[in-house]
Amino acid sequence: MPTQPSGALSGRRVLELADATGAYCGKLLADLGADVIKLEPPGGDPSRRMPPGDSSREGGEERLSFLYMNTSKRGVTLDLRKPESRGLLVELASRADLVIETLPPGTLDSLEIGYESLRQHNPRLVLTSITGFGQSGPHRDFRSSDLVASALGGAMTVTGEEDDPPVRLAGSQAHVAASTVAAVSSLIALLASSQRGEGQHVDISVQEVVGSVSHICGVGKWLDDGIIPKRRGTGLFASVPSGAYPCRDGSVYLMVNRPLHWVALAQWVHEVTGNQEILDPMFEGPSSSRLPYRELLDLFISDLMCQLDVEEVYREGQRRHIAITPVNTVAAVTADPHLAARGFFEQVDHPTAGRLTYPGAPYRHSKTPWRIQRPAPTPGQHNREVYCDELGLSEAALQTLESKGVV
Amino acid sequence: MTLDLRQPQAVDLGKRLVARSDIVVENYTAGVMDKLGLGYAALEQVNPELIMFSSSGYGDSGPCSRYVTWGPNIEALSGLSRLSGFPSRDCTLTQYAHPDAISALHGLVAVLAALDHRRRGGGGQYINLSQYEATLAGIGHVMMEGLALGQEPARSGNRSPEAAPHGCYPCRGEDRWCAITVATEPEWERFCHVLRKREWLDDPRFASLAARLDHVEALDAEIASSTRGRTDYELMGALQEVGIAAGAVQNAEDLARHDEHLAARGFLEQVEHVVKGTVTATGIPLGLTGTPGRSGRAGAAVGQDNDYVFGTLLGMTEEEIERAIEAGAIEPGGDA
Repeated sequence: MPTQPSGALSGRRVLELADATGAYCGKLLADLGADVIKLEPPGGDPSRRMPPGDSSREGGEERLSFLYMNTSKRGVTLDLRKPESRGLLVELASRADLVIETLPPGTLDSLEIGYESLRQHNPRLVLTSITGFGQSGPHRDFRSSDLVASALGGAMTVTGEEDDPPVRLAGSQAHVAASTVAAVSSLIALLASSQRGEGQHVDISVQEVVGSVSHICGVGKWLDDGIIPKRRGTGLFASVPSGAYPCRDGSVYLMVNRPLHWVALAQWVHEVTGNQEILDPMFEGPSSSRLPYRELLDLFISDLMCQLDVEEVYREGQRRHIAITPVNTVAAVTADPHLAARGFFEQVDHPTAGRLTYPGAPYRHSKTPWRIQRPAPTPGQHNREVYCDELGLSEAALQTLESKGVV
Repeated sequence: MTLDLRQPQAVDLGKRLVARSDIVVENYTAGVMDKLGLGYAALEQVNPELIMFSSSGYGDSGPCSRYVTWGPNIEALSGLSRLSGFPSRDCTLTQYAHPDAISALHGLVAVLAALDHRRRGGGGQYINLSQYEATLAGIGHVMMEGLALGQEPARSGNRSPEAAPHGCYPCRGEDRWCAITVATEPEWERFCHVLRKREWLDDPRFASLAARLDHVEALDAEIASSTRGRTDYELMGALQEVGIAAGAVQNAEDLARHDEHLAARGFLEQVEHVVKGTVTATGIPLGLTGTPGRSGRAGAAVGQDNDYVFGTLLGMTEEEIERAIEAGAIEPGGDA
């Protein structure tokens, strides 16, 4: 059953040979309507399984992160190490616009299904490779992980508290960012392929993506002013005031970047706490004029915040056009009336995991709505559909492949 | 280029530019473009093939659509700051406003997909992005845990439930660290050899992944006391030599001076800046080997391209441009 022709990418066919490093790339394209076939080793991708020490959800066989990262895809199994698999893979790639892969550099070549081989069969094909260090350079064959890429790319040195070790963000953000860049590049390459009649190999390095995402703390800044950006807690170096401030029942994040926002904040602090000093014109203007007084001003502001609840600070601050937001828990995000009003969360039924709530659309197209087209596939769920109905294999041939462990 | 969109003539010039554009990207507060007469409904009349992309903190609908935010606000609002970092801290933030990049990249995906749809005859359309929601989408797999299990996911710092050791360990020098992921049992054996701690292989606390996870505090403390005497790059090299994921925690200077791999790949770019001359900048990680673009220049001075835009593109005469400047619709080009 082909996906319904509603998404912006409906009609595009994608083959995904990706582990958790690149699964989000396939999800982005699949939720936009592309027909993404996820190719897994027989038995399923290791990222399906619960890590040891993780409390398994009652009744659910699939890991929650796998369910999320693989929405809207179809699933087939194929053991690339078996010689019989090559013909099937070439056949699948010949019918695809795009192949996404996350295998170590050179792996596809050694299986004779690298870019040069595949383009012989399908000159318009785009092959997108996502690896820790990219397809060239002295570290090409180095091993990577979300943590290692976050370190080498320059993000960890500027995340967290000055007195703590460098730390990474939750949710494998190096891999998420790399997958998103991979989706961008793949779409550019697809448009170019449509114009030129010729595909290309897209070479995504997770390290480079991290370097790019964190670039405002990167080489340009250092070369410009000689300052090496470091961790400095929750406040930003160039914005005064900025940071997380404790309230009675939680914390809010406050950031003043405009002279008018400062005036509004100072007035509010004055009204509630009676502080006269904060109205001093010497504190007005851009952040640079407040830079020498950061700690003093933080004390003034804390006098206000510590008297109030998060909800009060948030609503009243925003009423005064000050950039204040709660430091939210997952529970608070889930209960946010703004997200409810926009219908952000989606209910999805999965054959084994049941009905669960999923975070929804990252963007909204007026004509071609984003949509979770189907739940994440179970291992080999679409083998018959893809191998028999679409590639024309007979039932007997499929059974032979199954018995040999190829699919 | 400069246009004062509060001037009626500027709005007209804006529409003439839109008529010959593929994409409009804007991130004013929700509702501002409509008020200026430049909302999608108006621009669609001028150019039915237009793809218009609007990005704001909360998106263009819902009770908070006009709220004021910056990137770090979204980091906190989305839950990312509370999910990240060491358990001892209330919340953890980046210095680079992570949601800014994540939202922009998601926006690119949305716009390019719309271009692909248009190329196949689907026409133009309007796309709205909420930076809050795009950031949530990027941590959706963590959100699911809270949604399905009804409990807050634990803050685990640099640790992982799937690998141990998995952390950032101190090395010789000030603020020098090496990040290490030991993914399998054979890797653990090789790790102990590289750290010259073969006795760990006989230690029942470290005998399996489950055991190491149970004794992860002791494990990390012992590793740290062993890595302190080594330099980050030497340790990284020794571990990579035996196939273990390891990397120095690089800062801006390291990226520019010490990373031979990035240098060999030509990742950093030399870009022209209008005042500073040739500057070194972080490259674009798109990896398009068949159609490699590059950054043409580093920003531009205010109004630097007015003559090109109004003269060459719109075909206005010098007198017409002069009159638009006098009317206040165009601000004359100035210094950076």
